[in-house]
Amino acid sequence: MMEYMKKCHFRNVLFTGLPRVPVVYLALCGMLCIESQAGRVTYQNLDGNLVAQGDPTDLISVAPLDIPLNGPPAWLVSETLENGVLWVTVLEDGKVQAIKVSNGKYAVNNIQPSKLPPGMPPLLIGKGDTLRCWDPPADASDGTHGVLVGHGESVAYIDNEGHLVVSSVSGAIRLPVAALPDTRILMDDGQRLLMLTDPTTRYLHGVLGDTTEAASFTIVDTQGEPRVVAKVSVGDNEVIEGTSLLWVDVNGDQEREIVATVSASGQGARLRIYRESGETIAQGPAIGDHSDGAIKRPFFKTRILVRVT
Amino acid sequence: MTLAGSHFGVTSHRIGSRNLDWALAGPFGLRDHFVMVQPNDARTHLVAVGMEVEAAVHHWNVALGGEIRTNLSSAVTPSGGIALGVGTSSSRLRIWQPEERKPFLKMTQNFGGDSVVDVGLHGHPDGFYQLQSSSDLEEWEAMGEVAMDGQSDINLPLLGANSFSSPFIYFRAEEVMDPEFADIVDVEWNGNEGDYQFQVTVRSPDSGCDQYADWWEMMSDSGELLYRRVLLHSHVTEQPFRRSGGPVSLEPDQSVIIRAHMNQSGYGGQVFYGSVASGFVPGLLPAGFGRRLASLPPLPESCAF
Repeated sequence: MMEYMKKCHFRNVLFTGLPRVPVVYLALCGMLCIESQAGRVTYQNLDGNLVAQGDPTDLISVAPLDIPLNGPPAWLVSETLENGVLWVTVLEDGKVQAIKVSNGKYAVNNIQPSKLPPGMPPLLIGKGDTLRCWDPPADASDGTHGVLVGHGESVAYIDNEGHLVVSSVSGAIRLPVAALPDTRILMDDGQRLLMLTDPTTRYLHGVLGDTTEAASFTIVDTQGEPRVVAKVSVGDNEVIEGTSLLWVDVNGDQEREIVATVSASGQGARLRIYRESGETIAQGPAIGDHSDGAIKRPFFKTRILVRVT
Repeated sequence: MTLAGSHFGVTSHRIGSRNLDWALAGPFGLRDHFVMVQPNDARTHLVAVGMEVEAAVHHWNVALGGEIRTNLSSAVTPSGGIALGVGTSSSRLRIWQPEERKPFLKMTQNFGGDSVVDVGLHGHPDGFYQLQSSSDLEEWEAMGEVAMDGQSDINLPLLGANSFSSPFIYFRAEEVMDPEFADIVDVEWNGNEGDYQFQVTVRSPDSGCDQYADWWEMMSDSGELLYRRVLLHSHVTEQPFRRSGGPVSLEPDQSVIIRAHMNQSGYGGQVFYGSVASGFVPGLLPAGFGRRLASLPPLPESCAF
């Protein structure tokens, strides 16, 4: 109870009580509560962990709802509404469609903007009637989306030249981090950002549709003047595969570690856990070589990785 | 790191795609187990795999009605459960979203100006519910009772919410078999500035002179008694009942609260608040709000029946 109250999850409701006396609990966070303004992403959580929030749910007993779209879809994000869920999909041609689902019924909603650059994943921001997709500025890389920082007053995004741009009404600051054009920008609870950097073509696997992968990751602190606070490179014959890292506390030491999918020619991919300082604290066996069984993206709760929600 | 378990026949990626969010983990396996969901190799089904003590275990699979094209997406439903969705090659979204069957409490905060908190009851079966508040989850104070009759949702503003001193406040709703408090259910008025007549409809659990609504009253939002209409007898069979009162000297835009009182349990039901200019709407008061008014005159002298 205390835990979810601190996290300001108003939506969670616990039930207790006797059969004839149903009791429903609800917590109110008072003025101390700051709800995350950072937006909804296709990878569920801003630290990169693909874990669903919410109470245990018997999904297979739910009859699925099929909703026709105006074309083949590419991306999907969703957000809780007062009495349902808003599902926002970006089609392959970049057109955006929003559908509200409530109690087994659906209705088409308006959403802005109506089109994104084809291929760009969406960031869903706002709440309730003001939900909208982040509208990228002209110089934004179309391989990824920005994230809101500073409680929504600023946006951080990757531009066409691989800079990290932190932009607000008072101006924009460009950090030359050499970002991977389609790196996902992860964020922690202290408004720090983590991204893949130093694109390289030295690993010619190309499983992700191109041969450009990252040779390093970079952490940027956005509180105060945005600045690079850490940069860690993989070995000379290695790359970090994929578009996202995982930034969670794997070993329970109250510090976030960085989990990367590291590939090397002739060895395939393996999971590796770094401290933010760059020290490797563990790595897994290499799995596959140029096979589709390789690890594309680290996440999950097993005894290999700890579930962190 | 060592490999703890493997499961074959599933994939989380298609060669050539930059979408690496094809999988999702969460508590939606059998018996509420934590599982990871991703497509099968043919990309036509979703497969849930859980991690048990020594091995990865298959939980369930469901058809997609096409090949997977988007990432998996999940959202928390309004009642706290999980909804899952995915887009497919048949140009459709397939959504698994549980219906809002569970009754739940919902609360929104309004930090603008008057510090009003809205507390809502949603999807509860018909009956009477007592809303209670607590700062420590141990001692609970009744704020009031509300009736669900034939409606699925109620939203009530909690007036004077800034009188809660604790930074954290919990609410709960408890079904009550025998309601204790009297609710105001309608307010009408006529007259002119400084001289208004009110017709107030009260619903109360009267059983006779031992338990009955003995007055309704009007107070300012700072807790000052403006007018009280004393009731001379119980209303056991006439429910709800309407009794008029006045004259009341009010400015048209003066904010007032109208509430009823029970001879035994006192204040605690639904109130109406607003002004003659803006109209009156239902709400609740924090426990103890304006309690001292109960000893001020005029007070009932007798109960006829």
